[in-house]
Amino acid sequence: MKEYDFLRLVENIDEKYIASAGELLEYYRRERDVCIRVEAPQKSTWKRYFAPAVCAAALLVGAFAFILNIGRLRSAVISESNASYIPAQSVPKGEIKPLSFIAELSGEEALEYLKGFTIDEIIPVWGYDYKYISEADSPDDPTGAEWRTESKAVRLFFTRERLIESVVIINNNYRIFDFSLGMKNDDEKSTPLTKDNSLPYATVSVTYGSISEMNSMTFYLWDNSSFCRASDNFYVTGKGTYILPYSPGKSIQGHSYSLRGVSGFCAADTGGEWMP
Amino acid sequence: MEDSKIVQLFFERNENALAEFSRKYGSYCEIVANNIIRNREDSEDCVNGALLELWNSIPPEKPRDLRAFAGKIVRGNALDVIKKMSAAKRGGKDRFTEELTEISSGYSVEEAAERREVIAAINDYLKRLDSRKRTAFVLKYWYCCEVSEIAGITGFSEANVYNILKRERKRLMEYLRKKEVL
Repeated sequence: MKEYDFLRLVENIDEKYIASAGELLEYYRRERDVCIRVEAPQKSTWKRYFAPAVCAAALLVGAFAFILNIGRLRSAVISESNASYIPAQSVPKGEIKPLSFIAELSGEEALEYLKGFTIDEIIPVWGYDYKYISEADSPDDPTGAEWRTESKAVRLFFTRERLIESVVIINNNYRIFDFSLGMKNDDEKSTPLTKDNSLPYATVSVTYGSISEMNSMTFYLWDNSSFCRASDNFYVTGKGTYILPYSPGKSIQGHSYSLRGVSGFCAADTGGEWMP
Repeated sequence: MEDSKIVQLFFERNENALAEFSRKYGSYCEIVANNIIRNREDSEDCVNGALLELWNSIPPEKPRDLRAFAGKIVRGNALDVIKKMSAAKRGGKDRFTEELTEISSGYSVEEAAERREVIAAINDYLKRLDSRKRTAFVLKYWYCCEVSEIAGITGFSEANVYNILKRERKRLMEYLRKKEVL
């Protein structure tokens, strides 16, 4: 039987299968076309922006140098006033890999790998805004990684089930929130991300802990090359389930948050892909 | 505008029905046609023909799902265009001429596709598939999408999509033969 005949044979399949696949296809094409439209002018009109870009870069370099000097002064003040503060470690270890690479490692391997980098090396690749990173260490859980700033620490737990849990610690007291993301995976059993696979959205559950002090929370998606925002900032008001827009081909990789005026980014790889 | 209101406009023979339909499903219909024909102008002709057919068929038809209903018309027209093109070429290598399976139908394919027991058996088979695999199958054999695109939509790797399609197609044909509907 030729392909043409096979196409004819399946032409009267149930309309609900046609409609749902059609919706996905249309959504996918629309998203792809938007990306193409956004990129196209940049390629054709770069010459027009060359001179302003050079000027802007010069200004930025100046501003950056100024900020760097302030940063040094501030670091000096902090290290004098706070003996427990751990400055950034710098053990070069080659190229920083995407988060998807980290997820493939065991907890111990992930810890070992993360130890080697400073936040300055990670920022361009993972795209978040920590100022410092400490040596990765989590004595009470060998599969976790802990990153510390002056006022808080974030622990990431890499588990065999690929469920990620993170705990934000403010002033060394466990506080605020703890959540887990589940994602359906072909090979492993884990909490399905969607309650119903036919629904065009995914849900994230805040499972326990008090999050009354959280101001905002944004989830980020990874499409194998870059982060993008899963949604506009939305307010999390307590335990419950929150809806993220459906994004086929992408995976949830992290969230940013704002707590007591301190903002940060917590990166977490769920190791699966968004389910249709 | 909701589908039921668009259908209502068709029933009232209000010409806004076509405008509203095109606004909502125009790009979808173009995707369906262009995926098969791969030629912008011919696809537009095909969609225009489908609009006329839609206008003539509603009423008496009252589609449950307007998207799928229109998609079927567009797809049917697009496959006809492809068949005409193939006939005109004669002997040249065309789209959809690849030999997919050694199993052939006792009926003509058009007859088989119209037979209720064949449709029921195919739907029964699809119902048993995992939703992601079913989506991949429908995207390939109903929407004629490229494997790379199916991979992007379903989250499978391209190699995985290729294997799934090959396996499920073979299993479906065996299932139809076992049910003695082909």
